[in-house]
Amino acid sequence: MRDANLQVVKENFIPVALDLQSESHRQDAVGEFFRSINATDRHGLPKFTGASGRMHGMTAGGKFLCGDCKNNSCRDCNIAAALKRWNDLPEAERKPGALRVPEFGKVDAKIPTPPPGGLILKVYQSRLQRDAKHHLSRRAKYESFGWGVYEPGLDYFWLTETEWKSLLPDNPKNGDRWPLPAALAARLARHTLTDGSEANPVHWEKKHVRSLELTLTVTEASADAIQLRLEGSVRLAGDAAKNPIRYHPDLRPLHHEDPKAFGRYDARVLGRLNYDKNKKAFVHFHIVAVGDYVGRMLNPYRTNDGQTFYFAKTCPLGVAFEIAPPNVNVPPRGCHFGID
Amino acid sequence: MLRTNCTIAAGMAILLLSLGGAAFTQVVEPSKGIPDDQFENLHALIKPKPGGFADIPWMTSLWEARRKAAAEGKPILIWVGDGHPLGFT
Repeated sequence: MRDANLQVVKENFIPVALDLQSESHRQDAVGEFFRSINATDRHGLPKFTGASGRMHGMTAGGKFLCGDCKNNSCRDCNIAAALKRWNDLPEAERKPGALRVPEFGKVDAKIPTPPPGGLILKVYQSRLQRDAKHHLSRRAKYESFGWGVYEPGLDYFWLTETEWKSLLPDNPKNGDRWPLPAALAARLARHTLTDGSEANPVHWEKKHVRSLELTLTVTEASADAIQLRLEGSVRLAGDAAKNPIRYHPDLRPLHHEDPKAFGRYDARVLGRLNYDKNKKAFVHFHIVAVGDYVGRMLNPYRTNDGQTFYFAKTCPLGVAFEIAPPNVNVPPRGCHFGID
Repeated sequence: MLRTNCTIAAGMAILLLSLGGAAFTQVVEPSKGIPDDQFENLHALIKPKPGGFADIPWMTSLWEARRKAAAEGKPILIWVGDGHPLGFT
């Protein structure tokens, strides 16, 4: 989205981002409304399709403001055109309170919701570049395809109230030191220390946690706050492939250095966590993991047996955590794949 | 002379790039851990570049977005992906 459009959106629209599958199949008033607005048009095409997503302008009542389907393809909305079409609507239809949207009633119980009183972290996963002097930098493009502006993989990590409270010592003193609770540390490592930016993330089973040492240290304890330092290392490694990946002969040399490569991640971890005693909440929760990673790449040249993914040479992978914005309910990847 | 001028120019370019990119390039020796003085810059390096779609205050509830749009008299920008656009896709 271009910079000019960003400001138009911020000033004039109510932006909402949704998962097609979740909204299409939920059995409640929200699902009914979504299915009604995503009904196929006269070309037989729904408004919203595809992994890359579609954006449209819409009134609260469900009237679309642009995104006409032509040539059998529903195109994204022109932001300026959508705003103009909105402003061209009668004042009676646009004014605040013109439409009363009722409470949505009972929510489909299958919709994942964050644990009550929990802490939601947003997770970013970036394959980085490293030069000969160990300078790290952002990638410009995706490596699988060699095109497209690179964006980090995104995920979330939900801590229960019990879990985040377990990080806080009873009578903290500067220098107090203890290990991160083992179950939480393992769940954090297995669910988030992987990369979803280039292709499907490596899935770590419990046995793939080869070593995990994460320690919390009180760096400041006052009447108002507790500051903690999280530090350590983690080594995750999958099982060696039983059979080497067979690559298409047209793959560039970069992509088939090790036909028996398997997923692994050796990372150092550092975090700064600030707890506000007056708010009874963490107000700052930054964690960084960085290290060498071997993960999946998408194979654009499938062999006759349909090999879709393969493992490539190591690259530096950075994973960063922070407290998610309020009221952002995006289920973690683990909810989709039933990762325990 | 030409080679010297080119060398100087190249050196200046590298210096300027280094200064301009200082916020986004770090020195990290994995075996020695993450340096404290590079922690926040490394955190920013891993995140998306500022100024993109991630800066928009996206809601994640269609119904709440409808209620807010109706109350404020604004249109909705609805972004739907197969896999949540703000999460794993």
